[in-house]
Amino acid sequence: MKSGDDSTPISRQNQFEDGLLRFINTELLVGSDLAIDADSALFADGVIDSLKILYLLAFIESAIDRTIPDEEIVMKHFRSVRTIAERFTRSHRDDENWSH
Amino acid sequence: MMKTGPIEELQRQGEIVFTADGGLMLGGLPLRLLRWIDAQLLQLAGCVSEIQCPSLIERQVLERASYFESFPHGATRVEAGQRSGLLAPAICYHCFAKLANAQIETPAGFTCVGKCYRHENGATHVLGRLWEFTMREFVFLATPELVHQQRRDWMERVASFAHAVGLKGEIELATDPFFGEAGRGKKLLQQIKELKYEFSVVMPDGSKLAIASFNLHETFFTSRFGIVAAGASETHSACVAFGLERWMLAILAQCGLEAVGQLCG
Repeated sequence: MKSGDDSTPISRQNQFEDGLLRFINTELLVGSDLAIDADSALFADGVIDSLKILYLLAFIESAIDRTIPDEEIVMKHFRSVRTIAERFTRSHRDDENWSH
Repeated sequence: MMKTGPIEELQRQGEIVFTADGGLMLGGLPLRLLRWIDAQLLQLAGCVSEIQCPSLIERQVLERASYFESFPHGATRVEAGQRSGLLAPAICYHCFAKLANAQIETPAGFTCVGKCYRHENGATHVLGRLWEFTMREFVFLATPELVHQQRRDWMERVASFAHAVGLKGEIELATDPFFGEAGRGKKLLQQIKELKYEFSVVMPDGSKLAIASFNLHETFFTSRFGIVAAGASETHSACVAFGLERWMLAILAQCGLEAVGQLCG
């Protein structure tokens, strides 16, 4: 998250989830009949195509204030809005304790 | 004196000849091994319809498969007098062309074999990177769930087969795009959706060589070729592809002449 943010990890994650859901439903899926929730599969049914994924990444990178390397862009992190929020709202200190 | 590896030894005996133009000439043990590998792969597949494919492929088939959008210069062009043609860069295109505009019963499975031609940045002299090679492919069409399951089954079968033979390798998510260098978005989408896995081995020179790939096409080919399944709203396809010369070279390099002699001698 952007520096200077003193909110708790849970509230950061919830805010991020809400913002990402709003972005996907109002920007990426505009004009379609689809609407997703935090647990919807993002990459089933062609919800996100090869252009929308770039917009999605730009949104996430702007929100977390860092570039996401290609190796991190895998299904276990991008399955749904919730998994994206769980992965990318953790602090770097949390990251250090993760096993890859 | 440096120890000669199995491939160098067979080159010295004239049973493996890398031709100057990126082909491979085989005799004796390596030829028996290549045929043995193909027979084992067919056994792994069980009962599927078999198709032998020509080297030439119609331009309109590759156009229909959107091949040139992803690989603008990928296909090898040949000329004879007033006529010109293209050489197949992969075998499964023939299979989809054969099924074009048909309603099929699913699940359906086919296997096809033939020569393929790929000119990868001119690197035809690197071990295993041939301009001309033999590809054995298994193509299946079914519901999305069943196609996923069949690919998982194939990855397990290939890992077990390699282990039984004594070939060490790894099945990994592929980084090179199946649908070509068509932009970062497509590449990332392929990566997230795990559309392509490869079985890779390490060769004696330390290079990594992909010897099989496991590819989900979703509706990419079925929609372009107008292939529909009776009673199904959506038909997905997938293919599992094996470069037979690469398998032969990898087994020789890793297992040695004596072990190969016992396998298929």
